[in-house]
Amino acid sequence: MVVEVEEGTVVSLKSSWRRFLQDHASRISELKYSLFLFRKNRLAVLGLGLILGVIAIALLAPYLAIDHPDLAVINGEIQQRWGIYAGQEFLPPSLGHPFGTDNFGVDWYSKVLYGAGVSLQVGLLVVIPASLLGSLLGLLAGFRGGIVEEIIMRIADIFLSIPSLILAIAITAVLGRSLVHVTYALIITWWPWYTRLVRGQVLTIKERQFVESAKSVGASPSRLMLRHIMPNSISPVIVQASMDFGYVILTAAGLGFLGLGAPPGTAEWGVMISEGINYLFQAPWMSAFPGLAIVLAVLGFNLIGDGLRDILDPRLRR
Amino acid sequence: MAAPVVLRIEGLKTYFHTYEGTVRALEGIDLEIRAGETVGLVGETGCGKSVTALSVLRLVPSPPGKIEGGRVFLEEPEAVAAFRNQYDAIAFERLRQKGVTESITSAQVEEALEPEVRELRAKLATAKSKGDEFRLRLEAATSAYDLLRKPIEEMRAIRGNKISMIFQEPMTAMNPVFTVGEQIAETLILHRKADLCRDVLKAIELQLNAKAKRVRGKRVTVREAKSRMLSGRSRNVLTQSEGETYDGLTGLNEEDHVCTACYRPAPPLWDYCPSCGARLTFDVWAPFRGSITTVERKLYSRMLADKEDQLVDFVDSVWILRRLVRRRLRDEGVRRAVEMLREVKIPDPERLAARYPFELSGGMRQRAMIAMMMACNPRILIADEPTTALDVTVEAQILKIMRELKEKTNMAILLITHDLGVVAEVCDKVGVMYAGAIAEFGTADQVFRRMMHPYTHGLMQSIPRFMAGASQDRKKDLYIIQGTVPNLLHPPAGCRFHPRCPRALEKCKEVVPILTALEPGHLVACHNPVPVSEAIP
Amino acid sequence: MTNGGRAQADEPEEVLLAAEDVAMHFPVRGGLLRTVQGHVMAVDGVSLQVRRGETVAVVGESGSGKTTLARLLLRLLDPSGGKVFFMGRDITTQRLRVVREERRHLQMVFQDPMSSLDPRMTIKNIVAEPLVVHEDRGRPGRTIAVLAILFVLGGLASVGLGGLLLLDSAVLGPMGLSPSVDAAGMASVALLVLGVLGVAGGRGLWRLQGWAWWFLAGVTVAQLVEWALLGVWIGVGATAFLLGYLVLVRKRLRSGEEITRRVVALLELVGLKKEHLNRFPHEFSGGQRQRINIARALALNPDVIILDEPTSALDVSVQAQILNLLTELQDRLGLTYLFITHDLSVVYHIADRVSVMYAGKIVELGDTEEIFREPLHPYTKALISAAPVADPRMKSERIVLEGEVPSPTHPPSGCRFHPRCWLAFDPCSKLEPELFDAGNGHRFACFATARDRGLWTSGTRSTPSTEQ
Repeated sequence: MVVEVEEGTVVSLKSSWRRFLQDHASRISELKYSLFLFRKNRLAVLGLGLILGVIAIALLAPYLAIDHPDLAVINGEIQQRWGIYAGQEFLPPSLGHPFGTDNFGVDWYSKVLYGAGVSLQVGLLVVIPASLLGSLLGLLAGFRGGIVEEIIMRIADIFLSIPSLILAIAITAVLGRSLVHVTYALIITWWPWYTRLVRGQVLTIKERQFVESAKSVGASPSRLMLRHIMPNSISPVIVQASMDFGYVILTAAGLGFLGLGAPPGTAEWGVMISEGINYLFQAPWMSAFPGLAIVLAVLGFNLIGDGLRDILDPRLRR
Repeated sequence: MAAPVVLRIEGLKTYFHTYEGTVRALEGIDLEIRAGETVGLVGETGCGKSVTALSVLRLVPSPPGKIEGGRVFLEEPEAVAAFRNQYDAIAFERLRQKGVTESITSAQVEEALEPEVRELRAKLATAKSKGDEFRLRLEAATSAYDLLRKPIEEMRAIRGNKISMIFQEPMTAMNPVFTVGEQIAETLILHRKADLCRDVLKAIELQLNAKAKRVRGKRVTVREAKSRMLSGRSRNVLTQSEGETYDGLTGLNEEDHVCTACYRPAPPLWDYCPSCGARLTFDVWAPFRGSITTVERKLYSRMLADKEDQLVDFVDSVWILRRLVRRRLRDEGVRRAVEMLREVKIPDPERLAARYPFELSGGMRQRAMIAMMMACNPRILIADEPTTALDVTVEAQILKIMRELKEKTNMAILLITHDLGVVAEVCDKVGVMYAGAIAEFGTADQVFRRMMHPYTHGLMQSIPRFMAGASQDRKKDLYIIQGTVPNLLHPPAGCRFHPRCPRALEKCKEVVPILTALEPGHLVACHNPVPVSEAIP
Repeated sequence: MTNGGRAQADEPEEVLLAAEDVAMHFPVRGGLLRTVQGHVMAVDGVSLQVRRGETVAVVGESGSGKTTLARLLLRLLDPSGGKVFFMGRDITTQRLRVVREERRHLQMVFQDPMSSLDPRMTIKNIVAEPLVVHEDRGRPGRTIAVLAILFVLGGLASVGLGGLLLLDSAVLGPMGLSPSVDAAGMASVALLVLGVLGVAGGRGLWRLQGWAWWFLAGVTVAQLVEWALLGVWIGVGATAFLLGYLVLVRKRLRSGEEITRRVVALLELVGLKKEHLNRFPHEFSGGQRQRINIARALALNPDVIILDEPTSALDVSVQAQILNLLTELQDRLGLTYLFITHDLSVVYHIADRVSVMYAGKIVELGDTEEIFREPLHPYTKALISAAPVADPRMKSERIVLEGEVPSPTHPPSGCRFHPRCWLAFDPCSKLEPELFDAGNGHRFACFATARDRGLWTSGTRSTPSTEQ
């Protein structure tokens, strides 16, 4: 065969693992220090707990819920269909129904549980593309400067001035009411924040001496951008993205409350609050519990974001 | 005899408790600074010189850092010091029996001397005629002049007032949103409020007089003022007094401003002419000005009489009215600031006082910092690497200014630096620090030319020599002290220098050497010091 | 008239680096339309030559333009006037790609050891960077790209086929191969991803340890056999291409190991150890960081190294170590240094020739000993006088200059030093002095001294002299 054997190549798994640990000893100890700092910050740990709770609920909803929806594919999209349980409408919270029931008799606790998954999904689908897109554009703008920067930043300004609500209404009017369309609207309105953030960072980092030093060694612009500037400008993005998870969930819930986004009957917290408004005096639990869930989720993300900011700030370390 | 001791540090110990362990930054520092002396504290990065300065002022960042022990005496009178020596001997003996031997705090001393203290307090309460001696003895026994045991409010009154500190980076030490004049004024407002109140009252009188006499003026440039005076005529036809005033104007810069009422300088820093009291800018509150000024006068007299006056506090807390209290104090503070800036040889101090720190060059900023720190005539100035960030020629200027100021005010200077050249230039006495302890202390001559500690010896040898005649040493390898500065998390046992010391003995690995005087005034902490014959010529 | 990079007939040493009347005027933009309102004359007509094997020091304070000069020589900046020569070639207007090539021979050690190292990269990556950047990518690069594309296509095909085959379990059931087809399908996807990574220049794969490579190779071989058994020839083709790719990656792996080996050698050359490879910059002291900088500068075997204040941020004893290291390296590797500093004692110790800069111009240059023995320009005299000397006996009267370094946007007329100069007389504020020759390569730009030495009389325009 063509394959050659390299002298002294380590083949065994165990020694490879040990070598891996050795090679990355510094990174590992940095990680340990970060964990220590995180642990010290009680609020951040609380936030982490809340978020893990939300994730767990989202993953385990099918096992923890009492009532379950049917999943049907309508208009090319998976939607939930909850049953109607006559005779069980508007039951107040009790052991059998921890959060009560709604006007269709559906167990509200189950709906809240399923809502967690929907909210997280929205969060992921918005924050990750928006932050990626925004950061890349910010990187380009900050690094290139000149006309490229102007163009990108003006475009970002234009998008920043679009209110997410109006855009969501417009998109829904054209494309139809659906959660996915709401995520489009949110991505479009959210990415400019990252561009601005990253551009500011890049402008600072660009002047640092190690960038000049890499340039003097002959590094190409793309190498400078991707290998040197980007890793050093990414920490505020991480902080912002983690907090944005919460804000996206909040905004999506708001839009859902207004009737955009998920169709009525879906277990989405905002939609659920909106449905509950009609029955506020008969069944206050309908609006209360989803609202509480939103509060806890957003709080959790906020606390984590704060905690991350403290950890990642190089001046506060050591 | 010798000048009085301004600062005496005994056994100062400061540790930093970090994630990785306890960093023993200072391990028992002893230092003595007398009035009018410039003492240099040299050492390399990490040896603890800045920490020493911060510990004296108790500015050590407190979650990780903590002053674990020792005493720092500020301006302790000779008599008290004499008594304290007696009491210390007793206290140390008692403490040694309990097993406490180093970095003793004043709390420990006072505790050990409990019976004596009680007796003294009793005697002080009853005695009338000999009360003085008892008071002094009590102060000695309770280490009353120890900075480390003073409450924080007293420390605040001392910082900037009795002890001032200038830092390495004047840009970061000055607040960028306030002008230079305002910042200096702030120090004065904090510590010299009474004097400022008096100045304010004088200014108020002046202005009320001017208003009463209906003196009106405008602020114009010197050029304009001159043409005004002449108003078409030539110099010769002016009257005697007019001529004098005109001549006074010619000495000034064309671009400066004067008041048209009295033709004296009136920089744009103030609304009123400082010489005649005329209002120079447009007065929005013109109709009310009289009553406002009367109210102000009342306020300031009350402030002068009693610092904690209730009316003043009330006015201060109401946001809109606060200007009544603050504005004039600040104006007078700025006036004094301009004087201070002139003292540090800043050209055109009025203009500079109106500038912001970022508009100044490094040398100017450092001079402004010195002016700020000198504003209250401190007894001792601590300068932490004041010229490291500056060019050589600017450094020469700054050092000259510091020397002149010191001679004028008989202030003591503690100069912290790693630049041995600066120390040799400026300092009377030098202390060499290594890894948290003082290795050697003596006069500049002793330390630079008859050094006895191996570390000092090594340092001096590793400096590239400058002088003509040293040309044969050019391009040859410089002497290096083997090894590296120890990690203060796990410092070596015994003498901290022993792993790198070419003269280390067995004893050095176990026993920490104590600072002993091997020559009059020359203290060395070493078991095996360098004999005098090996000194560098 | 200057004669740039051409070696002079009577001077056998080769001129490696030369600047001819180089100037750098940064435009100052202001106002609404960002019009050019003035210029910062950071460097204004500087000519300098550096010969092989020597150490030339450029001395000046902040605002003198020495750092800008260094960047101009390195072509990190484009000069607004004058020419820069390297090894006899005019590199002033060359395209950046060419300049990048030149950079193999001309490296720089930067000033602040704290901020000149990327805090997120390990020492190995930092020192290896020049090697990685200048790696000869040529042929293998293109081949790998072609292979990778073919492989991606093949991979897609095999995944598609694998999927189809999954459905048609009737075929596989009797053969008992269905689970492995599943695995084969998944392996295809994995290989696909790796192939995409490989397109990015093999960077992802070069860090694979030996066993990971063997795993990949084994899976590929198994895959190939399976496809052969199933008669899926497209899959066979794809895996064959992949195997070829892996072999080439092997070669790159070796170069990765090679690079690591060279990095270790460099680290040991500057006095660091192999254990330091995977640590981060913040774990090192200032002196060690500076050594890392030096190691990186040496990576490409340069001829000339420009050092910008390499020891200013360091303690005395560490400075001694670094200076010793630099002299040792110079002897061992035959390096040429351009040393920028403001510390005159370092200059005296290490430099063969000195040029003194003030406000963007060279005011004096010549042999070190001679300049220190007899400084001819008043600024040089003031500098030497102001430098603190570590000997308390020498507290002689220092020349303390009044005033500040002039603003680079509005330099004084005539001689730029005249507002602060105690020797200034009438022509100093009107004419700019050229460099006068005091013999033996010692030149200075001062009317007063020139007049005293009979080299100039007022009324004559100063004659330009040949630059050295």
